[in-house]
Amino acid sequence: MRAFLPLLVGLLLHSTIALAQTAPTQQVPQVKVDATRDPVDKSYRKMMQGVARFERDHALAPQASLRFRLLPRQPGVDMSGVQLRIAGDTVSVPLPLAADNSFAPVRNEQALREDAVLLANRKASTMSWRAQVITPGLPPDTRRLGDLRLECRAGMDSGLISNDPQIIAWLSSMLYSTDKVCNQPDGNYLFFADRPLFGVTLVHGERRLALPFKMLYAGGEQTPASLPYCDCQVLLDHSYYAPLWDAGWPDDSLLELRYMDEVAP
Amino acid sequence: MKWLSLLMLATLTACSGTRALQASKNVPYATLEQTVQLGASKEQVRLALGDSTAIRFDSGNEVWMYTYPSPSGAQGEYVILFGADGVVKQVRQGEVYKLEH
Repeated sequence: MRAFLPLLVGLLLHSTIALAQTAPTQQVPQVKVDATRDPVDKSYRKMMQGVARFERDHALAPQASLRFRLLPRQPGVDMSGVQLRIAGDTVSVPLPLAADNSFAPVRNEQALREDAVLLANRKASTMSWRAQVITPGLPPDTRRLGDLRLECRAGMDSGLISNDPQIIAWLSSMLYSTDKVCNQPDGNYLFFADRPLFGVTLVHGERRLALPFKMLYAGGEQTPASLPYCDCQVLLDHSYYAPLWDAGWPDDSLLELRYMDEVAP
Repeated sequence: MKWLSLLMLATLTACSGTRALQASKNVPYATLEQTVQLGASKEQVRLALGDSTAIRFDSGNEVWMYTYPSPSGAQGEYVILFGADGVVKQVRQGEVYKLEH
């Protein structure tokens, strides 16, 4: 999502931990830690904030419903057989995954009260998440710009940043508001195609314009050193930015995806 | 601690930067058309056109991008996909969406 923040935070985290070890003892709030929980599991309350955002901005994609999707984040991760559930102190609600590892959000008042988390049977750092908004009936290999605009807003409000330490969430919320990420040219919200991309063309009516190279492959700015901190780590060749901010391209604009594995005409 | 972390983040942001892509090489369109044929090797393309913006993926695929002056006066992009075997698999070209930043 934010391609470079995790790298910064990775560096910062090392410093922060060192500082924490030498800081004078002081009164701090007591936190109950459940050892079975991964400390970076997703907050159910945050996810439901994303659902609320989806409902509020549904006009961007009036025919679409909201799902969330798990994506591979690290090399070699097995994405088959992933199981997911909402887990609170007393509540446990399985979330059945579709073949593409997406799921429909479920509202559960008890889970909200218990500040439940979303638990998967994978290490959180091996997977990334995205909101998924797809208007039914689109031509094959296309995405609708309004769907992507809504994915960004729902995804950001859901706290679907990379699976890294919670300090990232704190920093991200400070530095990157949903409105900034989803409405500004330098927002850099990454989308992922299902297959490696060769090109993306923006289409509305008679207008057709390819996205520039700088809007593919996470801007082409990842290095071997920085790539592990990007949630595009194993999906770099699937990644692209969309001109979410550009009111000159209405919500009904389509992005035509051209893949690397297509046979040249 | 929060403020110290913020200060460190600001410092890191200021000094970290990211690798800029190698600048794309501007080549006349006719030269690109003449040189880049399906099945041509990377070495053949490099020898004829020189180095330009390029990304290599874990799959072994590589994408290179050259620019060219288009008839309208805007800059076009000429993008070449090399497969893991090192030969041209696909090409695309045209004017592109203009980024505001």
